[in-house]
Amino acid sequence: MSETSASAPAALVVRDLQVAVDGKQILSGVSLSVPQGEVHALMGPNGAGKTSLGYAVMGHPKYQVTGGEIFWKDQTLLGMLPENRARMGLFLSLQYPTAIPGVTTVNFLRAALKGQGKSLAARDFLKLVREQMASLKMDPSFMSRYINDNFSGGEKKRMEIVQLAVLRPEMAILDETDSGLDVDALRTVAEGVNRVRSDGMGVLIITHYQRILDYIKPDQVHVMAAGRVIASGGSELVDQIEKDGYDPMLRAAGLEVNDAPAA
Amino acid sequence: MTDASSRVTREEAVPVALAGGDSAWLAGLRQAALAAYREVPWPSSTRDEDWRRTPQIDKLDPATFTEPRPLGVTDMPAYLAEAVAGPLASADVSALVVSDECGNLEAGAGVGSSATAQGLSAGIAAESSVWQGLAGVVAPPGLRKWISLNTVRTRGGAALHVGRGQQVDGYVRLLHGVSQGSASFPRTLIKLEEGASLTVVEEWLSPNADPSLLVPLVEVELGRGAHLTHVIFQNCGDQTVLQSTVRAHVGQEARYDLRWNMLGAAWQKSYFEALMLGEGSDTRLVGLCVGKQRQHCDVQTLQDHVAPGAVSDLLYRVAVANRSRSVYAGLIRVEEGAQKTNAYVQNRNLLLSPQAKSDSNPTLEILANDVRCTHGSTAGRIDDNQLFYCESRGIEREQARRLIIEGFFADVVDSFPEGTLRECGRGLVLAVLEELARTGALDASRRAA
Ligand SMILES: Nc1ncnc2c1ncn2[C@@H]1O[C@H](COP(=O)(O)OP(=O)(O)O)[C@@H](O)[C@H]1O
Ligand SMILES: [Mg+2]
Repeated sequence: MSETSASAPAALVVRDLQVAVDGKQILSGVSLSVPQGEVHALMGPNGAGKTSLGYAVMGHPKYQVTGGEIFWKDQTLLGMLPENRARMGLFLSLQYPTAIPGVTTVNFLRAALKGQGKSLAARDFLKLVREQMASLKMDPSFMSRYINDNFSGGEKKRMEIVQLAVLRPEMAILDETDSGLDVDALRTVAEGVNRVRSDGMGVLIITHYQRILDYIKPDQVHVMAAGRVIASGGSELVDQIEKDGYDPMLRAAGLEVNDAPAA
Repeated sequence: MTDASSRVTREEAVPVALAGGDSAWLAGLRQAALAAYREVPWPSSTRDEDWRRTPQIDKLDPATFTEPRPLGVTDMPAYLAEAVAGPLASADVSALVVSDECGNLEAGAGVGSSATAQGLSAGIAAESSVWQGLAGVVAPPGLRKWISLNTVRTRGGAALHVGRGQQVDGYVRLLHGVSQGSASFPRTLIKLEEGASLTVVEEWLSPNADPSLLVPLVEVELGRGAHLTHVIFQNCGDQTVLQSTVRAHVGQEARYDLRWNMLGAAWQKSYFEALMLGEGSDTRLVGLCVGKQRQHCDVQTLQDHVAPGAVSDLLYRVAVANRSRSVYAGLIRVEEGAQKTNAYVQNRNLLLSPQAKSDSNPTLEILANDVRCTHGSTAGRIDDNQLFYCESRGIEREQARRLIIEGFFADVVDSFPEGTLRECGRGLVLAVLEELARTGALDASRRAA
C-alpha cells in the first residue's frame, strides 16, 4: 500500500481511518494519499466503504470518525464543519445527489459561491452558470428548476459536474459520477472534469468501470473491500479487475468472496 | 348576569351600531346574533372537538378587553399609519379601507364604473339590499360563537361589490387593526356578480405588547364565472388573540383563490371555509404559517362540495420554531349528488426545534361515489441529507437551514399573485427567518463532525 508519491506533496492524506455509523463500524483502517493535482481511482465491490470514505472526508455528521486521521494540505480535517472543508477547496460529487424542493439550482449555486467567499456580480454569475450548463449539455431551464428535484439520474450527475465547474475546488471526490450515464453523457461529464482539472485540481474518482478512466487517466489506483484498502498500484489494477473481477484480490487479502460480489 | 362595566362577557354582549346607525335589517340581524350568542356556550377544549388542542380558549375572557375610546376620533394610530405606508402601498392599490376597534378610519371609494370598495357603514348605506342578502347568510350567526359575536359587535370593516362583468385592475387593500387593549370585530362583505373579477388584500394587524382581541369575519359570495383573488397577511402583535373566519359561497364556474400568510399573534384560531355551491367551480386555498416563541396557531378548513363537478385544492405549509405549536384540521365534505368532485387537502409541517409541535388532521367525508379526493399530512425536521448537501458545497449551516426553509415555502409563496403581493409575502417570510436566525432559533445544537 503506498501512501506517498514522489512527484508532489500529498494533499489529501487519509491515515488508518476508522468510521462508524450509528455505532456500526464501517471503515476499519483506510489509508491512502492523493498528491496535489493527481488523479487517483478508488475501486471496490459494493459495500466496500467507498461512499463512506467520501462522506467522512467531507465531514458528514452521520459518519463518525472513531480513529485515524484525515489531513488536507497538512491540516487536520477532523472536527471541521463540512462548509469549512468546502471553503478549503474540497468537493464531493455524491453518488445519489440530494434534491432540495423549493430551492432553485441558481439560488443554490449562488449561496454556495457566497458561502465560499467567491461571490460574483449578478451578471457574471449568471453567465458562468449558463456557460457551464451549456458545456455539460444541460438545458438552461434547469437553472430555475429546484435542484435535483425530479432530475433523472444522469441529469443529477451532470448537475454535480456543473457545480464542480462553477465552484472550482482544489480536490474533488467523484462518487460513481459515471454510473448510469450513457456513452455520450459519460464523455461530456469526463470532459467537464478534465476542464477543471487543467487548473491543477486533484481527483479521487470512485468507480466500478474502466470507461471513465479512459478519459480521466489515473496516476494511481486503490481497491477497497470490507472497509479498508486492500490494494494500491498503477492502472494495471484496473485491467486486472476488468479481466478477473475483484475475487482474486479479495482472496489474496484473506476476505470472504461470496459476501462481496463485484458490481 | 352581565358585568355592568363590560360590554362583552362569555354569556352576554351589548350590540353596537355602525356610524350613522344600523339599517333595520342589520339591527334585526344583530338581535338574532345576540340570541345566538346567548344560546351557544363558550367553546371548551374538553367538550368541543374544534377546540381540543387549543386550551387557550378556556382561559380567554372577553370581558378583559377594554372599551375603545369614543367613536368619532378618526386620527389613525401610529401602527396603522405605518402599515398603510408599508410595502403593500403600491401604485396598484385601487382603494384603501382601514378599520380598527372604533370603526372605519379610511373609507375607500368606487373602483370602477360598477364596482365599489367602501367602509362597512358607507357600503351598507349605499347598497343596503345587496348586503342584506349576504351578511349573516354566508356566515349564519348561529354557526359559531365568534360569528355571532362579530355580528353583534362589528363597528366597521369593508363592503366590496363588483358588478356584472366588471374587471377591477390592481388590488383593493383592507387593513383591520386593533390596539389599546381592546377588541375589534371587523366585518368584510365581498360580492362579485357574474363574470366579475377582483383582487383584494387584507392585513390583520396590531401593535406588539398590547393584549388585544381581533375577530375578523369575511363573507364572500361569488357569482357565476366570477374570480376573486383574496390574499390575507396576518401580522398581529405578540400579545394579540386572533379569532378569524373567512367563509365563501362559490358559484357556478367561479374561481376562488385564497392565500394566507400568517406570522403574528400570541395565539389564533382561524377558520377558512369554502362552500362549492355552483357546478364546475375552482377553489384554491393556499397558505403558510411560521410560528415562533410560544405562538399557537390553530387553523381549521372546510371544503364543502355541494354542487357537482367542482375542484378544490388546499395546501397549507407550516414551520414551527422555539416552543410554538401548530394545530390543523381540514375537512373535505362531498355532499350527496356532488359527483365528479376533485378535492385535495395537504398539510405539511416543518419542525424547527425539538420543543415545537404540530398536530395535523385532514379528513374526508364523502357521500357521493364518483369523486376524486386525497388528503395528506406530513411533519418532519429539516432533512439531514439536504443540510449536508448544502454544507458540503460551502453553505454555512444557518444559511443552509434558511435556504431549505425558504424552499419549503416556495410553492406557497409562488402561488401568490405575481408582483408586489408575492414579493411582499416572500419578504415577510425572509424577515421572520432572519429574526429566527438572529435569536438563535435556527442553530439547533450542532452535531460533532
Ligand atoms: N448511513 C448508513 N447507515 C447504515 N449503514 C451504512 C450507511 N452508510 C453506509 N453503510 C454501510 O456501510 C457499508 C459501506 O457502504 P458504502 O460506503 O456505501 O459502500 P460502497 O460505496 O463502497 O458501496 C455498507 O455495509 C453499508 O450498508
Ligand atoms: Mg457507494
